[in-house]
Amino acid sequence: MKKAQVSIEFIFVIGMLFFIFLLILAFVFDKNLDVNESKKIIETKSDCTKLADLIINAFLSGNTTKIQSKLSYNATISSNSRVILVEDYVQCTLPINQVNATTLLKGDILIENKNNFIYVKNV
Amino acid sequence: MSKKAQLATMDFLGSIVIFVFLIITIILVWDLYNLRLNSNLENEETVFKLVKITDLLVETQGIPTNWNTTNVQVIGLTSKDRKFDSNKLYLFKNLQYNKTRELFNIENYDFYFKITDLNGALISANNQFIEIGPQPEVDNDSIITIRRFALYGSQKVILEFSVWK
Repeated sequence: MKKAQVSIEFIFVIGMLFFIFLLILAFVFDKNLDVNESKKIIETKSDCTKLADLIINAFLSGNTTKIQSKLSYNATISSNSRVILVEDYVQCTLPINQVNATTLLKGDILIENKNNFIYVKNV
Repeated sequence: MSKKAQLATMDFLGSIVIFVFLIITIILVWDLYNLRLNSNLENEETVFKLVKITDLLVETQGIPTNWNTTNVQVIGLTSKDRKFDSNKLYLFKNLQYNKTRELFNIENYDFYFKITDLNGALISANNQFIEIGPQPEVDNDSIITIRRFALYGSQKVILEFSVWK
C-alpha cells in the first residue's frame, strides 16, 4: 500500500517535470523565433542603410562618380516615394528622388552618378 | 512516512513557485531588451537620415543649382562645399514647413533647424534669423539633434538640426 502511494507521487512529479519541460521548450522555441526575426531585421536593415548611404554618397561626390558594391538581399528602389524596400520586409528612406526606380537582385551592384542623377543596376 | 511525503510535496511546490517566478522574470527582461533593441534601431535610422540630410545641406548647392521656393527638388544651402550661400539660407527660411519636411522625406517627424555662431547666437540672412520650425519641448525624450560646422562668409557657424516624433 505504502509502495503504491510512493509510485503515484513519483508519477505525479514526473508528470509535472515533463509539463515544465514542455513549457520551457515552448518558451525557448518562441524566443528562438524572436532572435531569428531580429537577426533578419538587423541584416536587411543594414543592407537597406548601406544602399541608401551609397546612393547619397554617389550624389554628393558629383557627376561621373561610380561605386561598386554588393547586396546580400534583393532590394527595390522606388524613386517617387523615395523608399528602398529590402526583401519586401524592411524599408528605409532617401532624402533625394534623383535615382532610377529599379529592382536589384542580391549580388554585385553598380551605382553611377550621371549629371546628378543616380543610376543603380546589377552587374 | 506520510509526513515525509508531505514535506517532499511542499519542497516541490516551493521549487515550482521559484521556477515560475524566474521564468516570468526572464520573459519580462527579454521583452524589455527586445523593446530597447527596436528603439535603438529606430534611433539609428533617424540619426542616419539626419546625417544624410545635413550632408545634402552643407555639401551641395541643391537641385537645380539656383533653386527657388517653387522649383526646388533637393535643398542644398552652399555656394561651394561647406560655405553657406546667404540667398539660399533666406530661401530655405521662407520655404513652407510642410514642404521642407516633404523634400527631406521626413513627413513623420517634426523638425527644428537653426544656424548659430560659435557662441550660440542666431545667424541672419537678408535680415532674417535662420531658425525654422517649432522649438522642441525640453522634456521630449525622442529628440535627436545633429550639429555640423560650416562657414558663412568667413565666419565659422554651427548648423543644428533636430527631429522628433
